[in-house]
Amino acid sequence: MLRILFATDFHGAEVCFRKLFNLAPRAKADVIVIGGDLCGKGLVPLVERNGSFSGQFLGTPFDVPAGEQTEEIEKRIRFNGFYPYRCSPEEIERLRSEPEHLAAAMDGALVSTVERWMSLADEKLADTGAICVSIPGNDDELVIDAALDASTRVQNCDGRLLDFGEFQMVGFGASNPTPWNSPREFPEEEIERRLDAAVDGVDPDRPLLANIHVPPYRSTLDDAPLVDEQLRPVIKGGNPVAGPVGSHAVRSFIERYQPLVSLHGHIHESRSASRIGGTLAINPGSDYSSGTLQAVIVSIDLRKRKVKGHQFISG
Amino acid sequence: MSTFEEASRDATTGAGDGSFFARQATGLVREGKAYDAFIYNVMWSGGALTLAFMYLLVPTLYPAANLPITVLIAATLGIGGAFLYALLTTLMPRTGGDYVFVSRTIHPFLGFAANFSYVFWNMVVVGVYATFMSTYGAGALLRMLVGYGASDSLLSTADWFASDWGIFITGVVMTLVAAATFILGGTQFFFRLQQGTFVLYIIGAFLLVVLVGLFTSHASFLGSFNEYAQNLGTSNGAANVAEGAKKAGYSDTGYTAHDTIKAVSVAWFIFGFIYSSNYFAGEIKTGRRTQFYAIPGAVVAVVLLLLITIPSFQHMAGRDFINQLGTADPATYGFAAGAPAYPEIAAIGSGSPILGFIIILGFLGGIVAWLPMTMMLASRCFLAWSFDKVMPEKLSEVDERTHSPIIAVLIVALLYILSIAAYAFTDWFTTLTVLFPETLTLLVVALAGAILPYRRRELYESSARARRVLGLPLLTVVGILAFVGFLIAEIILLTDPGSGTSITENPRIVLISLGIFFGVGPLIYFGSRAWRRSQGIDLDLAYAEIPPE
Repeated sequence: MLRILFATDFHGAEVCFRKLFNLAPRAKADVIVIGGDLCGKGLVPLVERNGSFSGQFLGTPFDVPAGEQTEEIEKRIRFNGFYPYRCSPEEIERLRSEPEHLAAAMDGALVSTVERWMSLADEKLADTGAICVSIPGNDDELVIDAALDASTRVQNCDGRLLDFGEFQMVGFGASNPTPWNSPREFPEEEIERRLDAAVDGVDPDRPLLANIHVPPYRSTLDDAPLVDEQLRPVIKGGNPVAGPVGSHAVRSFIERYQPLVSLHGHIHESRSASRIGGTLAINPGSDYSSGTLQAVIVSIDLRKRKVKGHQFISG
Repeated sequence: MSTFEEASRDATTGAGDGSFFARQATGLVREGKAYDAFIYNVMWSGGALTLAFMYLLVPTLYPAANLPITVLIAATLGIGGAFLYALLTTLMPRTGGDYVFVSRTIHPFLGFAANFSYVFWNMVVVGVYATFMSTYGAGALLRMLVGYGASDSLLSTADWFASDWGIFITGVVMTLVAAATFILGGTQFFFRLQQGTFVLYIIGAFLLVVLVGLFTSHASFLGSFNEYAQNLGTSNGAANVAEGAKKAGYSDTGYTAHDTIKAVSVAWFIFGFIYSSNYFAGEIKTGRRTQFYAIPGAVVAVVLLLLITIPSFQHMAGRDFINQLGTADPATYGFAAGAPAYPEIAAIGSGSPILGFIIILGFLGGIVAWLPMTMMLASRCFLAWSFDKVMPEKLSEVDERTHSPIIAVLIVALLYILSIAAYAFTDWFTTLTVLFPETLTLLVVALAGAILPYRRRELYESSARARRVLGLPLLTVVGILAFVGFLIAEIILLTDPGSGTSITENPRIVLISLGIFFGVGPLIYFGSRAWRRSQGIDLDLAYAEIPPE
């Protein structure tokens, strides 16, 4: 029996990443799979003046002395998936006026965080036989790829087919176009081409598992709240209007190659499991901003090539 | 290279005074519009039905109640709960509402037991809606046509709607229509229908009643009433009402504090339901302010609607006359199928069959829309239970085309029919029976809110609402206030013989309520836990508090 523990879309929330690796032994996971979107969504400056740090977070201004209180604020910022950034009043002006400087500061925060996470994963996996596989997601800047590849225990399977003997795993991190123009987006035709290329050489006699960030189109894993041109959620009758936003190419890939299990993320609100032919497609969703890890455990009988069951976790 | 925008103040990330720099990334939506969520909550709370209860139950149970003050007392007891639910929904916006709040804060068994009880009694209350839909909606509509001069032959059909089989068949038909709405049309279709109904509901059930009440004198109303009763076959209707009430032992005693407080049992109906919007409105993070406009805002709006409607309605119909209508035998004044509810009384006062039609239709529309709303609520709770493996996976299957949990909807429909049968053919439950058990759930949610900042410290401290009042976390203070309000309401329900859950008059129902909450719910939870364990599934993992360190 193979037990897979899958979680996705941490968006910089270190607490969720840590929880995943703490859950793994309790879940008796043989394989830990991370579904991308590791990067946080913004930089929160802490401006230093006369030995204290000031700024604003979650709508509340703060002005605290350096030391424990500042570290506490930084912890809260990280908890919510943002990056604290200590700087001087002059640097704030540079961040505002020089886009290149801001981009470099952000990239630095992203890379150092992913590096720290990979070190943490290496450390947690050191005395275990567990396999760990990850992909970047559409929200992840390209600069983090080197940090992902540098891990000794976490294998990056973006656009690749990894062979683990008893089973094979294909990964893909980019998404179809979104209203946000995120860093890794491709047209459907390109996704189809790249997925097909990734599984070139797949052994049809051994089970194939998929770790594809974007869910298949119209699968119940891809119901996202629709947004208007101002990126406000469209609400009718008090309810967010949702619609399928998954990828047609991913659906087509699953229909044609029928992996035993297909793991997805991307749409945080669409926590669901659904059958597409013989494939069990699962999106455990994400609630990173509350520090809650949403994950799924999938039990597979590799000999019979059958999924025995799955269980959503939220904690 | 990362791309950025300097975030505006209303970015839902919460940060943003110009000193926050957002990456161009998926999902950074802006504040959602509170307006629609607010509208939804106003409709969901059943304000018109509560008003109907008041004028049907108050004359016999609490004839000396000062209803505007009763409404204000109930609102005071319930407003803390509105802020509590708004805070909790902002902190944990998830399908399953209170099930998630309680199971993740106190214990999964209590979360399930509280939510199971709430859903169970929501199923039961459907019978009340079916009764009112049939008797005071469809039946009243036809009787009004006769009252305004249509053929007498319609009267027997109108009266049929108030019969046991009339209530049952109407309820079943509407249940099937509600289920078909989801199964064939999907949730978005239902929401569009609901929006359309809302306008009719507010205009018919409230605004027209206020206008008719304000511009109709009592004398003119009595004239219209006599004419209406005449068309139903009884002359001197108003005099017969007075005579019948006298025979039934009614006499006007003015207002008393005792009856005013006891009548909170009726007004509390709003607060048994108005918070339930968290099941619907909370599925995405629509922003930091949305839920605060939507839930407490809806409480204020519904209370205002009642406070405007009650005096103007009483100005027209007269408090004494309304009490007489409720206590006299309806057959003595020509209303053989039963006393009229407030929409029909307002329709009579309007002197116009067209206005009357809109008033009753607005009232009916509000009740009809409530059925699928409750269906959605229950099916979403089923989904949450199923996700946690407490219930079979089949319950969480969602149709790809309609986004509807079809199996869950069908099960709810079946349970609806059983409840409608119970109300139509038995006297197991009274109109207000469900309020005591539903408030039990509210009490547990208040407790969960009060202790959440301590049990889920990181979650709370990292939220935008992590403020302190009098040295305590804001959520703890709000949770305590809500708990006190709910507890007082619960005491009123337990001591009021009219509530249907009086500890002295209805001890069996109270015990059943407690048994379902503390017996059946935990039994299902622990039974499911053992069953899952035999399958190699550790149910506790679903709720595990995973340490980050």
